Amino acid sequence: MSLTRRDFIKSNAIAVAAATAGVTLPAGKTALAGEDDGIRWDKAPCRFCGTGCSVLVGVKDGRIVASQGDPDAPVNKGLNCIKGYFLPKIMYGRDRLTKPLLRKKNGKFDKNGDFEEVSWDEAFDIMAEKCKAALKKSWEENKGKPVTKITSRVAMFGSGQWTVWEGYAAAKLMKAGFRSNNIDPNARHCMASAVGGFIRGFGIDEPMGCYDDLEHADVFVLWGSNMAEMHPILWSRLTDTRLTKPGCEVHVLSTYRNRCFELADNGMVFTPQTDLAILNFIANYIIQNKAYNKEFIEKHVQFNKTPTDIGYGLRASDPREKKAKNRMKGKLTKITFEEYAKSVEPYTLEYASKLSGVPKEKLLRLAKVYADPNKKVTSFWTMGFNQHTRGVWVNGLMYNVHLLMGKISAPGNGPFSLTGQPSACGTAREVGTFSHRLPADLVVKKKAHRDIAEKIWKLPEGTVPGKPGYHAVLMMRKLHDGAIDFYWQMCNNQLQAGANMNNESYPGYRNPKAFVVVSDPYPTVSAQAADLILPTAMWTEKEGAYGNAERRTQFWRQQVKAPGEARSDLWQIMEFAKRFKVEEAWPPELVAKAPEYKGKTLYEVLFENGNVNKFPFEGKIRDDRGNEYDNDESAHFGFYVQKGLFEEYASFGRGHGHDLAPFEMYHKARGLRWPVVNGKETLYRFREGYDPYVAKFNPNGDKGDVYFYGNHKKNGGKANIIFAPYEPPAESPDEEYPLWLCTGRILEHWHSGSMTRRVPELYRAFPDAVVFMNKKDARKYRVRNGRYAKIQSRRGEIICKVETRGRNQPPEGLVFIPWFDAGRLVNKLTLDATDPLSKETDYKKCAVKITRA
Amino acid sequence: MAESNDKPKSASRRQFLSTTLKTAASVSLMGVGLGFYAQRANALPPMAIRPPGALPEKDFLGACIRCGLCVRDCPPKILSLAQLGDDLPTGSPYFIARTSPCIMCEDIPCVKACPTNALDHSLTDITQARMGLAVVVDHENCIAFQGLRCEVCFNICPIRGDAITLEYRHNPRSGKHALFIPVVHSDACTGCGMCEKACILDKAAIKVFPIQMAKGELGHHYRFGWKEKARAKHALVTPDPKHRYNLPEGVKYDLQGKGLIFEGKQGAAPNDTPFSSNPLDTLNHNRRSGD
Amino acid sequence: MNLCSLIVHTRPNRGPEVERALNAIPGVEVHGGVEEGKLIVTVEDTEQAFASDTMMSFNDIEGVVSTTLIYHYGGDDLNEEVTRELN
Repeated sequence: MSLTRRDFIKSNAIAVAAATAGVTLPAGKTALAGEDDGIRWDKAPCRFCGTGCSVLVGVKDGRIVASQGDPDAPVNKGLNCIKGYFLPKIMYGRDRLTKPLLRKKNGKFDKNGDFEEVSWDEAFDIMAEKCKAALKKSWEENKGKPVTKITSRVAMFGSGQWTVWEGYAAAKLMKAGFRSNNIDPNARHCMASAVGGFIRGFGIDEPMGCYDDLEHADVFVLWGSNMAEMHPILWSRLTDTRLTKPGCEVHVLSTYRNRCFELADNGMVFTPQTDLAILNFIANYIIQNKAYNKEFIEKHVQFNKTPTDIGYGLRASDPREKKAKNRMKGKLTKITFEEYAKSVEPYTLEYASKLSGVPKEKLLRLAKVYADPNKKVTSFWTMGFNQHTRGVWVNGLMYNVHLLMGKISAPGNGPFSLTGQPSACGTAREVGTFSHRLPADLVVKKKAHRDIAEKIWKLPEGTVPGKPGYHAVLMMRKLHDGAIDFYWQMCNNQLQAGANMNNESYPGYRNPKAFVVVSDPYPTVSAQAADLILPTAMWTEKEGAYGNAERRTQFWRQQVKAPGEARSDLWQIMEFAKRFKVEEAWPPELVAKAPEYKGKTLYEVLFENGNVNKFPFEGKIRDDRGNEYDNDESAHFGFYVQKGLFEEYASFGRGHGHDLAPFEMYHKARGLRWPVVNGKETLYRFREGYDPYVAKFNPNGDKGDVYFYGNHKKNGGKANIIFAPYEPPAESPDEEYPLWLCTGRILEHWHSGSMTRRVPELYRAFPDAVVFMNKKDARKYRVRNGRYAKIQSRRGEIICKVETRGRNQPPEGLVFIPWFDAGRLVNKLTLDATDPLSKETDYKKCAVKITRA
Repeated sequence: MAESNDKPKSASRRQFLSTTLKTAASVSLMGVGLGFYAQRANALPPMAIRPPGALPEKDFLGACIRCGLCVRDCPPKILSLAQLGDDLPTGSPYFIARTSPCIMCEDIPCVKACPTNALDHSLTDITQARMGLAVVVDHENCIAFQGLRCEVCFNICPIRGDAITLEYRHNPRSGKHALFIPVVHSDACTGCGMCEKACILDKAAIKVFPIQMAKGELGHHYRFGWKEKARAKHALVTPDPKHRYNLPEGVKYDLQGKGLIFEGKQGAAPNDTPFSSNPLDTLNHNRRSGD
Repeated sequence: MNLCSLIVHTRPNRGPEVERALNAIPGVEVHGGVEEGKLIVTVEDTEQAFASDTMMSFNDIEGVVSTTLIYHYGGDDLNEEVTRELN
């Protein structure tokens, strides 16, 4: 039905007249557009946070003209947050990149030249030249070294926003093709401590519970999670339960008052880093009052301690590292329950209250809900725990509390780590795009694991190096130090995201020794510092899959074409692989082990291996309603690329607790929570009845009992309670820098703002980053609300407006600055201290001073 | 026989179209009522807001000498002077919230600049300014009313937590989400217009109107009892004596709160299902009533 | 090009006959409100008459009490196709 302005205006005119007269008109008179308006609707998960809302995308004439929350999606039931409301607009920013851009002077590449448009051929030519030189140099350095010692001068910085197959293809190209484990995702900044906590506690990654906890818990406790702004739709579910369930309580812990405190029954602002002490106090309270679940502990828990004084993940030359007795150590030692009880004994109410600054009665109220056997408690956390120099510890201390009470793996009862990216779980963690990982929780360090990967990939033994590569922060240091010659950043904005950018990442990106490639849809801060920029297709311009925080895998089809010459990350990875003969990537002795690959390209070896190219492509993708969709990658490569990659990848986890459903199912379902066994989803892991793997590993177990099968081999299926003490942060306020700086996000903008700041309405809603601070501090340091102030740390300075009456209300002595603003780069201030175990940066604590600008 | 409405008859086509255009501009589905009001209060068009401290419109126009000093001294330059042909008296200062709201300077330089007290010099605390009143005019298009998580107006409000609050409601459609409904409070809203500017809709669902247009008025005889009690800090009449009740065992009564309270399972069961927890009760009762 | 909507108040029970009379005039359409005696009417310019002239003629129709103009649109682009896009 075509609609003219006349129709449109007329229906408006009629509606207004009818409304004024109070007359009800028959349906249809006021309807603007009928059912058949030529819009093709299809589903897609949201591009932003880890909640995993589903949206419906309306396409007409090759353009997204409409969107709506998916009313049938179990996560969001048709709702969106303000970012999801504007989702399609992120693709239509005025400054989309549509051509490769290379820094040039006098027609040739020059690190100090200006960006000029080049063809994809020219872009790949220079990339391949630089990459091959780096590979050659790596060979020379690795001569005579065993596979467990191999290093590389090639590195890639990946993403928890990659689709599942993009992450998989990238990891395969890096780890098997280029034989470099120097691939790490931005999820390192976000989830690595949670992963460390899961692996140490349960031997298997990712939460045991799911979002249904939001309806089933009696008590919610938020630990360093501003869910009200960061997971808006989950927060609306939590709020609804608080409203409608008698007796439901919400406890919120944070280092500053945030929007969650508006709903909190027990809001607690604590001194940074003292969450360690509060958690040990709760454990102590449970033990002192003999509230612990004795039967559960005896059957399902093993007690341990972890080495202490482990440093702060800074450069080895830093005095704080030299002082550390057990730098980077994390090997667990078994202890008894009594020894554990003794360890937490010093954490009394008085001590915890004094250290944390939280009033005793509030801490007591919190401890009591955990200790009450009749209250179902779900604890949520995000970056407050994960971006922490003791992130793995604090994750573990949280599990300790739940395990002592046996409050785990049951509806409404459980520790629940939320993710910040749409596929931090699905891609970064499950696919294993980390420097130490392989798919399905396998790790490069173990030969048996490498063997599995090499077998599935049909590669000779010894292809995948056994030494973990450079993690995110180390990658910046190595880039700075000139140990990386070829660096490719994809699907994220590391230069804006990495800590201490003045002294590490920026000099790294601009290091004359390194060739830096950035793939992005927009000219981000990272792109500005690159040597070559590749224009990238985004979101529904390609077929994709994401995995959200509750283990839900969701697919979408390509809806529209990318603008100009923009190409998906998947196309870029696979096409680039065509530029390398096996002989140029592998040393002769490895090539000799696989004579059938002689003279072939990496593309042929990795992607035309009989698995990936197994499924034919018939020119169009069809849904069950008869709609047709493009699939540009499959059309280009001549087979159903996404399906082939997915099925090869899924073979890693099927039968090993990571079962994914067949490919087609995901195009029909609005996501499925893995493990999907015999077509059935798993809501709660480790509990018989909910999780089919429990009976498999523990056939003689009781009905409904738990079994932590991730530790089946290690200790007979027990979860680890791990004692860790309070230790101070890497940098605390002092006389010169008297304020804590905490960084984070706000509701309107996502991460570095490269997408949301290109939506005019979102930009208008929150244009620039401000420094949130206490009124008394503003007076003390003579800065005024709404006026500019200079914030300085030992590493750099920025200028932004002061906000003393905003949504975040820090206590005296702490300021908060969001990091979305490319114009005010807060990571000039932050310290690149990391958790020595997870290597995740602590973006929540460093010392600054503030003066009038 | 036609009882004619003689106004259209006498009007020239030109006049007719110019007045209708004015009406049309202010008419939209939800704006109908306000649009009509606008014609009556025609001294000030609905979207033009006077600077902080402006006297009531009639007095203001009498006192304002159109000197433009307030406009000159406005740090963010949001104030303008009405031009010839505008709907405002020429030369009088105003701002439009949607494009350039008042940023509420703590030192209120525009008021200080006013030589005639048209902007009342007794206004020294900007939070006491009443330039207008924000109204959530369109509950159908405001995405918060549909359960989407927006709250931009709440977040941007400079009188945070007082001028706009969020009311949590159950979302019966989704069954498991909450609604976060913005509610404006006239005792705190200064009418600065930050909310209207920030509203992310194509046309703002929250708009600032001059106060006389925006506010309803309660019948002069009526008071809200709970508010009077809160103001007085005690009950206006003698408090009730302690009540006592005839109650079976296990049942309590909470006068001001929950009413009947059943302790333990026996009492609670009737609330869940029409059946007693003891099956014999049901069985025997049926048998007996059948007698 | 003008397009208006109006409420035409009729005498009690005269709605149907006024509706017939109005519908007979070129460029006029009745959309409802007949039973209530408040007809919802749109009027557009035709080649013969401007919408405004047409509207004024309503007062000569038997049974009409008053006409109230509610909405007016005047523009040249009425036949343009609307593509409501997000951009």
